[in-house]
Amino acid sequence: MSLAKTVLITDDTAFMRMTLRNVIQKNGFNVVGEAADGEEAVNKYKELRPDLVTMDITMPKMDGISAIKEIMKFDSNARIIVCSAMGQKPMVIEALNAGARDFLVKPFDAQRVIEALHKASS
Amino acid sequence: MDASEFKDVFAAEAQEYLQALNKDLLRLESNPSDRAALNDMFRAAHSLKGMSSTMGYQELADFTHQIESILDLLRVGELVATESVVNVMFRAFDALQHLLEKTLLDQPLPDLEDTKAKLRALVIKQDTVETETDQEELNGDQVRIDVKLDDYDREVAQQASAEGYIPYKIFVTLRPKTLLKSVRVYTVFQALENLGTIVKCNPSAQDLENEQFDRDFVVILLTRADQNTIKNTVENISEIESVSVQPIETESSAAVKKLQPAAVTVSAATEETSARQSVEGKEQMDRVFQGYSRGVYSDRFIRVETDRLDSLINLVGELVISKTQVMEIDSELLTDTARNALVQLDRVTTELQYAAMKLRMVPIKQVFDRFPRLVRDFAQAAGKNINLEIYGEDTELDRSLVNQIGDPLVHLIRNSIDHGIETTQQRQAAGKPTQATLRLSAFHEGGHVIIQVFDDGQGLELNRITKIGIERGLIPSDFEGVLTMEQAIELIFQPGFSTNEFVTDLSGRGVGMDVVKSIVEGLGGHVEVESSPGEGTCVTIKLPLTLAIIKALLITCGDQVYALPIQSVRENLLVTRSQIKTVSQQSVIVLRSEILPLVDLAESLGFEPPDHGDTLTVIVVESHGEKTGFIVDDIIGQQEIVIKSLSDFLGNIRGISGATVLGNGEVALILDHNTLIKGRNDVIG
Repeated sequence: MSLAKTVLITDDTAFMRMTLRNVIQKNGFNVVGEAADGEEAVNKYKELRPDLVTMDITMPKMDGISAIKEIMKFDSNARIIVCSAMGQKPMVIEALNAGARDFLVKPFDAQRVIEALHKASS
Repeated sequence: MDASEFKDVFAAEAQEYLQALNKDLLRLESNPSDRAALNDMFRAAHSLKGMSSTMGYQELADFTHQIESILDLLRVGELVATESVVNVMFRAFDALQHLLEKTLLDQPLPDLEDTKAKLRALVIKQDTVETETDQEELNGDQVRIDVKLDDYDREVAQQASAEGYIPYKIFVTLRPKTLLKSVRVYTVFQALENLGTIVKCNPSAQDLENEQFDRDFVVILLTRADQNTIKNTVENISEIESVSVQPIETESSAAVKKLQPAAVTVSAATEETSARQSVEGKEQMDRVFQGYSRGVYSDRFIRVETDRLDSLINLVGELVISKTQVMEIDSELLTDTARNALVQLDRVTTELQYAAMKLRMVPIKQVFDRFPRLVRDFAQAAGKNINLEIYGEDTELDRSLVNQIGDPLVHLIRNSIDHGIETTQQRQAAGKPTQATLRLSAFHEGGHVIIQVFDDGQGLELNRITKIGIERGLIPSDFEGVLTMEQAIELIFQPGFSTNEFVTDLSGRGVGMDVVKSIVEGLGGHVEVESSPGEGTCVTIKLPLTLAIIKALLITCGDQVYALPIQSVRENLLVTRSQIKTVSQQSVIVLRSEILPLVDLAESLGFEPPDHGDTLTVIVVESHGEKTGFIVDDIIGQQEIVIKSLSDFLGNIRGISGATVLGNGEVALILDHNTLIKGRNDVIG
């Protein structure tokens, strides 16, 4: 039995980070860090080397798409799941093209979040 | 099925395919290993065959099929595009053209046995190959992949399976309540594209993108991956409820499997070729797919009947006229709101008019496209080595101009090849490159389209032209010496100069430079020739962008307003009675030492000439190089007018080419200066 997969949560609202952490921790993943903007996400990724990243799109300083590109540049095997609100279709597609493995649509359904994490890490 | 209503569409498209075939064959001729050209030709022939049999044109379908088989042999490299093969193919395309024309006209079909025999001879030369081809042919006919696949898909699938790709049908069902369904589909497509090429989907990509579907969709994928890999790939995507993957059985893929054990002895040789082919095949698939996905994603073009287009243009013309009428309302009488609305109306109408004009514009490519073949044939017949260069084939001009400019251009090209360009020996002797250049170019300049035909030949042969001029009685027989270049140019435009009355295949009319000139001038344009001995000749045709709206000079005569196309007007004069002279019963005036006949417009239109008093308003009009002064009552000014033809029951009225409605709703007749002057000559003569 391998160790639980490590996850980095990225979202600019503390509430969303809390909700996600709650769901993820309960389902056997290990949340190793949180980031409140793209820049922080990139730095934390380099520092923590998590197995998985959840990435919000609209964030201050550096948006999710730029962060995905930065992270992919650093590690082309990074497994990133992009989190979007409804109506952000073009951005989601851009994120997928930039290398995101999957996408989640807010409001999150716990089942979906876990499924996405499992599929992305397999 | 009754396909008669699609006949027009069929005719237009078939014609396009034929032109494409000719064009690609030229490509192949210059580079016999041009696989892309061969593939394009094969596809064109294949499509043409399918279309023809759908229309019930069996003979056409059969003949195209025969051509297609040859193309297939060339494509797979079992026949080489030697000069003789290419010539047979050109002959076959001509026959096909002929057959197509006859078929469309419901006329008795020509006997093509000769051409067919030549085509068959090409196949028979390839003894060993033939049986194989027959086999393939048979397979091809038996391929019935799926009802949802059209001919094109089937061909793509078959090509792919021949190259080792397997076509699969993948049925995907999304989970209920999937959010951003379209993006989910996108992830599926993205994952599948990593494995191969998606050639088709149902619902269409457009519908998928707009989420115009429930939860199910089907994708056809060409790939080398196996069934399980595909299934796992899709299953590993979130929110997928179920996936099922079915290989699509093509006859040739089955045949390949069946043949494998027996083919051991030749495997070493074929492996190498198939490896090479697969790389090419991939490139080709990419190209096919690009073309295809363009079709899947958006239909950028639609076909519209030209009648509908014309009636739209006509209505826009009416609208422009009504707008002018409204704009003439005294603005003092209007409220601010009304004035602002009018300004807006003015702007929108102008834009609408512009947009409508654009609809009539087509690229000159439509005319130019047949020239490479023509030049090849002419050059071969004349035994000259010519490189044709074409520039600006995307230049757009009015559709009606495109229809009429072809024949004059054919004549100019013919002239260049027959008279301008020297034989290879002559060129060598003159120290010129042995291959001559014939350059055809088109571009926009101001409100005009310029078309140039240039050759780097010997230029106008002044001696010969002088001699012909004397022979035809166009120059006094006691003329000594040689014409200057300017004189020679003037002479070749004279009616009766044309040396060999050559008849074009299309119109059956004899055409000389004088006819070229009058056609071009009839279209509101003009022709210029520049030539330099030993260096070449350049003929420039200048045409207006459109025929529907022209600039005209409005004049009055009697109580009527008339419009005179501005390009025929040279100048306006005020003439006093004392300046009028009489030469052999004809009134004339002397203008800068040129003698111009003077005619009362009212008289030439068949009215009583009114008394104009002592000062006359005269408009100098030029037609066929001849200037004439017309006496009119008054000049109103220049205006753009929309040309409307007179209805048929009025017949051809001498001197009148059409009518237009003026801003105030009044009708003005458009004067035809050509027949007006000619008519006058007839009366006098």
